[in-house]
Amino acid sequence: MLVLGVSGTLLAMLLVTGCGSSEDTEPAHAATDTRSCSGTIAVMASAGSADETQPAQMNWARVALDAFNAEHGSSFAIEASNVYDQTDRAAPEARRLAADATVVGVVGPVSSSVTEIAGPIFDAAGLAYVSPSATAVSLTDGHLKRFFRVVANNDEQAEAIVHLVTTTLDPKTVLVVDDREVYSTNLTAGVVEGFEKHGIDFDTASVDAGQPDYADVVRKITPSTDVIVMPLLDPDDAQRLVDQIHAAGKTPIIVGGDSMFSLNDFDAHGAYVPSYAPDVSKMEDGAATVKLYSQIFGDLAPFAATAYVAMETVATAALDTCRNGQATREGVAEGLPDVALPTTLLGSPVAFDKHHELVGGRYWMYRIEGGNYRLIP
Amino acid sequence: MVLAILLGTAAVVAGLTAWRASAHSGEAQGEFARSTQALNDANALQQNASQAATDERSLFIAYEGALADQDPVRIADARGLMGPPTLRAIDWWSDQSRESRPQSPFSAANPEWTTPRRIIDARAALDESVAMLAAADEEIHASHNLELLEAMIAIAFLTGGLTATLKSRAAQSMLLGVSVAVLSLSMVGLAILW
Repeated sequence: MLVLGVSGTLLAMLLVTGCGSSEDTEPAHAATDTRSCSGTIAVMASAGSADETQPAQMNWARVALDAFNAEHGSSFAIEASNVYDQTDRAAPEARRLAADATVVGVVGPVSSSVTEIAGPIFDAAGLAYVSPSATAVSLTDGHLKRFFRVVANNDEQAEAIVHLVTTTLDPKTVLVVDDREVYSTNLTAGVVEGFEKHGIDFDTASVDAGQPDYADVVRKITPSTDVIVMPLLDPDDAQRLVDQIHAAGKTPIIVGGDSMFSLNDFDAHGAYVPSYAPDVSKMEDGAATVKLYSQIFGDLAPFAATAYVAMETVATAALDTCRNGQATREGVAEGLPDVALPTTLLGSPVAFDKHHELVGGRYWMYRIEGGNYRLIP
Repeated sequence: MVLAILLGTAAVVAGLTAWRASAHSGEAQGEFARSTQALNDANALQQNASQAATDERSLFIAYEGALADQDPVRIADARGLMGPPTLRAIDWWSDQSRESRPQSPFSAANPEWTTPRRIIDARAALDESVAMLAAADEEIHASHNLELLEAMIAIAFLTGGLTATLKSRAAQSMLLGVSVAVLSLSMVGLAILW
């Protein structure tokens, strides 16, 4: 029995080990999917012209495209469309891209107001467009057929603000200030609805965009007003309002909107501002790409990394539907709803629901502390 | 008879273990050599990419200066020093309208600017060399584990050999059992570490 046992074990061992050897292992660096495919992907974002917004989103989209081409063996090219929030440029640039037959998909627009203008032109031309930052809820109500976004919408932003106020700040009275712009009024409507649901005591005030003097708002801040929610579209307006509140000797907690998520424009110490993107430099999957970005462009813009994800999404749809080495508009438009990226450098997956909203999209809340953002869990 | 088969089996397992340890060690040597070469290549690629990025900016500044001075000789000199990708990047930028073009030819919006791809390729090569080094480390680790297994098999030889010197059947059975157990464990270990 013993002899048989030992011999059997030895035979089994040889059979098992004979099935594989170290030579069978995968090479360390195998391209996941190499297919020759070409086409142009446009990026409608700031190109960094003189006196204009920094081109962080354009940069991230470019890094994404070059990295995608390197990984997949594709040869997609970039076509810049220099539009940030300039609504007067939206229609001419959208028409230019629509007329360019080589353009198969668009990353952008980056603002909701530009999307409202450019979207119908892209739709008519059969171009699908994926925004890295347009958050207006109405964009996905069905009137823009080929619009997608890789960020959460303003409903989720309002929820994040209400969650912060009700669970962390525990206020006596909240003052909600809007600037009569669509972004601000829509967002404050969602916030007010949330406050009513939670039984929060609040007051409201409206100002004009660019208003120099906010004395009326400052007067409304009573001793019991300990939180001000003020998602103003222009961060300069927000900074001016905060400065005037502080100058009056009042120190309520300030809560802004994502339009104020720019330390160059709004840096009120202790203020809370939401963002549709996490700090990618602190993400396990994103840190290496941030280094790469820094090596290419010499700076850091971790909160614009949603443009990387938007480009990755469009390029994936283009490659998945590539025919005879050529991506097409029809293919990208048909492929985008089915794109499913299991993970991205933002640490979360990408998939779209039937309204073309990002599944599982959320907002991150940050507190400004000493000229930096600190994530609020 | 049983003892002979046991010791024979132990000898076979010891031989196989030594062979696999040697094979893993050889693989590790090869992987180390390849990863060192890959690392050197990746470093060279990175240095070239960084140098290209610096050079293209310097040459562009010289070219812009010559253009501003309307000096055809210096313009020709500057362009002559530029490589084809740099020339294409600068020419694309020059063809754009002044109002909407990026502040520099070396920007993400310029499809003719190829430096980002060079930097990305250099980074990929570096990642690959790091992966090869990790693979070599794994091979050498497996080789060391198999050498440990060889030492364990020696226990089977020792207890097997001692069995023959004992008269007590109980003691013989015990030592034989130890030998079989150690040998069985070694075989399982060899299968796992193969």
